[in-house]
Amino acid sequence: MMLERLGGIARHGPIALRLLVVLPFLHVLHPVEPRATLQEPQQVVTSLPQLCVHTRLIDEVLEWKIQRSLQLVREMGAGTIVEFFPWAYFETSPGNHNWQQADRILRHAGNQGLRVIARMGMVPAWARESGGQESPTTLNTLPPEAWDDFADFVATFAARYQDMVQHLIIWNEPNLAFEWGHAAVSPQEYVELLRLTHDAVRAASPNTILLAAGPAPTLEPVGSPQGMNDLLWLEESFAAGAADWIDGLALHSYGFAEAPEAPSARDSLNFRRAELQRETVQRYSDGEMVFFMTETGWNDDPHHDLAVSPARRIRYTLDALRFSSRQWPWLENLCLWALRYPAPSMNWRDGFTLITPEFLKKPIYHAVRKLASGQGNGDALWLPPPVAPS
Amino acid sequence: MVAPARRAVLIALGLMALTIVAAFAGRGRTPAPEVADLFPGGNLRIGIETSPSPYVQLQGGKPAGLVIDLGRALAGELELAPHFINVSLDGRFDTLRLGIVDLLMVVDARQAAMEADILATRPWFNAGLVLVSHEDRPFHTMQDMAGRSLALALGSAADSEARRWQRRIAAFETLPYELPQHALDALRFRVAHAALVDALDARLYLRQHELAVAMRQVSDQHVAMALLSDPPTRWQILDRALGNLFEQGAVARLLGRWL
Repeated sequence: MMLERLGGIARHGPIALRLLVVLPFLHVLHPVEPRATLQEPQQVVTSLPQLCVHTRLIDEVLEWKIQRSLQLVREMGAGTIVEFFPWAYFETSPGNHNWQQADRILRHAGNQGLRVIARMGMVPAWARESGGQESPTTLNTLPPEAWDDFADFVATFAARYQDMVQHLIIWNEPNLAFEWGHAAVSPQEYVELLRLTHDAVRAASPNTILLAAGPAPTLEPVGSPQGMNDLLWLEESFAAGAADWIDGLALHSYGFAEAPEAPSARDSLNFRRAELQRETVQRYSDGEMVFFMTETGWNDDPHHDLAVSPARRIRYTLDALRFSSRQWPWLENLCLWALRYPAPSMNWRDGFTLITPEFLKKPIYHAVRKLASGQGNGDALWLPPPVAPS
Repeated sequence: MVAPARRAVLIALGLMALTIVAAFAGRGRTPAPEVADLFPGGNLRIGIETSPSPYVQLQGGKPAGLVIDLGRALAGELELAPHFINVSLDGRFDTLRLGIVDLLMVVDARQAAMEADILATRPWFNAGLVLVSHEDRPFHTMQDMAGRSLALALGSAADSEARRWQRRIAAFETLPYELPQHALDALRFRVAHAALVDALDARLYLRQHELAVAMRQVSDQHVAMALLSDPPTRWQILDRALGNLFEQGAVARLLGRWL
């Protein structure tokens, strides 16, 4: 009996041995991610040429999600996106670049027929430390010793992608201390950064259009450690010569709790504050300045003070797109913040998106798409408040 | 009769026991040494955001509300002095990293989990969606809604959740309103069989209206405090203090007072 058993093991031994060899490698097997092969080149069909959306693709790990996001941009009827290209991601040590993620995004954007406006910022660790400061830094800390390095990076990006990206935004909301690593803001220093960047980019890619970053709309009082009033920021930065180093301005103008038609005023924040921002800049430019509203929209987080209901957000967004088309011929693009985040923010910021991280289209996405396709949405989006039975 | 030598031993033992008891009793009245080390000056610097009501509001220019009371209770538990610092929404985790504040009061626990150097405490509130129905005709699950009517706010998280339900169960009618309060009105006036809203809206509404309801949590949004993960003892101390407040019923009392 024992001999028979041993004989059986001997007969099946080679198979068992092979299984034993294969077994340790089984754990590396996992389902293949959906492929993200390029389609036939697409074109955007829209009745809203100004429609644009700010995407957040740079932190997307899976390529098919980048492709799907950009398909949804095109299908919504937006012809332009704004995307962030962080210096810290691409130049992790001086002079060593890894462009893989930018290549992916721009390849798929081009395939969908989309124009890309690139926002530049975020400082790599080696550049943050170049000033030798000992105090803690954030990803936005840019010591003066690193300004040339930043300008070189922007120029390298501009040259590499000059056939795919024509517009670059230099930094983000520079009137906020947060955007400089909680350091004091300075319009004059920002203009110097613009000058350095301008010189480097012009030498590397003469046709690139440089946009000054849109200041955050804010009523911060003079001397606030949080930042500077956006109109004051524009006044001071253009008085310091900003117009000499840029081709245009990115505007940030959110609706907050007001309807898009609400008139602007220096002491209030609403959608039409963009008109005041533009007027301020026009005084210092020769009329050749181009304007892009690279961030706008309404928030519908139910517990955020400066938000509106999701229903009203839909109504205001549609009205803003109509208003802009009729009243602001000077505006190249009106970019909604934001299409989708790679992961939920789990806070009020999620109240700005059009699509969830799981690619669930929110009702606002459907409404914008319908408008851009030339169809109306009707007047009654929601039911009237119920009344008590008599 | 006790021998003098034995009496002396007993007295000595009694004195030792008293000393030990006194030492332990004293420890309860003074801050633990590690608390003093972690919070120099005896201050607990608490980051708050005045925007996201109803957790905190400005009353007469001063912050007030659930978060303020909870922060005071937490500081009191640790025998620290609370200092509330308004932090910007965009840079709030940076305020921890830069040492501007010791903790943030209102953070979604999942958001904190996405930051490598941030830890959340145990959650102190669940702000997820709740299915609200009449107590005499309760609905507990999405399956219960088949063939019924569900009131919700158009475009809200509840709207998205209801769209998911519509793909999974037999048809039901959705009644979209502009506001969650209108959806709850629809329930109150029996226009709808149930309303799907978030827990904050439901609690605030029910404070204002006499309505006997069945309320079932259908999704989670755990609200917690957040702080730097290093040093780990700081997280342990704060989380334990919050746990003590739960055990004492203080958290429930504060939630009942404000929500």
